Amino acid sequence: MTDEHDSPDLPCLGFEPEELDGHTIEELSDYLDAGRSPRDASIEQSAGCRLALDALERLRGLTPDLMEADAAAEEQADEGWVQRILAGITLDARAGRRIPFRADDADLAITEGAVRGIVRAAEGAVPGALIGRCRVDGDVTEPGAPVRVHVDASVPYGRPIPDMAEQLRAEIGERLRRHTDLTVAGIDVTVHDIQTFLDAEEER
Amino acid sequence: MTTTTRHDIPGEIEHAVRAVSGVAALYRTGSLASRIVDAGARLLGVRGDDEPLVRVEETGDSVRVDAAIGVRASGGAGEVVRDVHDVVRAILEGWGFADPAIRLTVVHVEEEPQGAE
Amino acid sequence: MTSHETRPARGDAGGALELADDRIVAGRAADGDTVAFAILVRRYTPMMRAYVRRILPGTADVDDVVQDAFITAWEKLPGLDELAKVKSWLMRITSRKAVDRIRASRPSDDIDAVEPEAPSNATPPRVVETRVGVAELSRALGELPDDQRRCWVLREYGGYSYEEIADELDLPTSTVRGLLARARKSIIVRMEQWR
Repeated sequence: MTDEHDSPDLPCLGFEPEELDGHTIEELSDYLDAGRSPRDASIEQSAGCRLALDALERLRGLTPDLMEADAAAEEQADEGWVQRILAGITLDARAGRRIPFRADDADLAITEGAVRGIVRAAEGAVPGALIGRCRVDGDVTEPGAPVRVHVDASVPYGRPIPDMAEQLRAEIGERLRRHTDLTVAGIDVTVHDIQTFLDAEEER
Repeated sequence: MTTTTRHDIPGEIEHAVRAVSGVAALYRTGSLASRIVDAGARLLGVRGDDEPLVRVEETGDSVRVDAAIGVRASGGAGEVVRDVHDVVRAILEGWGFADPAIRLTVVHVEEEPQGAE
Repeated sequence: MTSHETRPARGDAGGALELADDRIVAGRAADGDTVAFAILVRRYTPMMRAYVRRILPGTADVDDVVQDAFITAWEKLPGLDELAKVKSWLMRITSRKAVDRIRASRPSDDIDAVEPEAPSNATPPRVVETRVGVAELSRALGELPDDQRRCWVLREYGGYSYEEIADELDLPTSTVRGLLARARKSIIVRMEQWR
């Protein structure tokens, strides 16, 4: 746009090459996306280009606010919507491998999915703890083959983390012994997140 | 019921399996075996079919039985499934099937609701 | 020693899980926990709906597209290694589904053509103004031709590179560069006009 100059003497925001010292808006747009690096002296030393880049940066700066406003303008997901989604997903994909029990003349097993559920429930041993992803590495279908269990955990603030991790590890081990015939070589509990939100009591 | 028609066998097995101590539920098997793997699924009310949950297939002289169960956490899954196996085997032998193939899968372990800590 | 009761009064895990980190929630969902997946659905539905609304011209298909995205997300979640990045991962799936929808509804459309600048109804029903300029930006976006707006949305909202946009929209990278530049210029010019 070149026909809205307030005064011919002051540098104005313009996007034609004559206002950009020979550069194009495409070049500047590209330069912006490259993080203005490597530094292009010709662009940086042009007043017209600097004005245009400033405008482009300001525009970019509005994006997070626009995204937030757009999301805020949407309705919250209601329970009908959640049920609609859940009804559309198939659950059998998560059963995983069949983990055999020792038995002479029958095919008795527990699914990996059920085992992950057991492991997750171990979080009850540490009030406030949450267990996230659970991975069982090793050939679980082979009786006696050693396996390793890895879990992500999030724990509440306040107690020493190694103590809580150890408690979780012990609980997981106990549950696996009770419900499976797996040979567990080790249980890795990785604490990724410490919950720091205040509870209502402490705020008063 | 005292009929001896074959199609009652799944129903009889199902009834007996549910009565085994530690069994919380029976789930659907088949090509979508172990469909239900966690508590959240109960919210969906997935089990609506009228078909028997225990699958019984005749194989030459004998039968193959396939069932998917949920067990209570208070029992050990291994103990409960062995008890179920014994019950199923007893029923099949009662019907005269020698050497049945019995395949049982624990697909869910139901935790007791948390009491006071 | 007082116990730190850091979760809400409910006895079930759902209470604490609702507030948990994306990594924990997504990890459980990846393992098959539908309660955890429902939390992701509640957490990210507004963001995903907003994103689709910016990409698609009409508002009719928005929920269908978001539902498709969640179904794919459920299927692919076990393969996601960086669980903490589930939010941007969901956005990627969402834009792919939205673009698929465009392709499906107008298979012979030349997406490269410059369309007349007719006002589209791509703006959300209401814009919550958090900062000066947001409302104007929203309006300006709504007035862009579809192909320019999509490039802008994929770049700014989706964080796509030029190559990724080109891939997604089936265009040469040079065309993407041009559309993006034109979009930015149009937006800035309009916003200057409304000041």
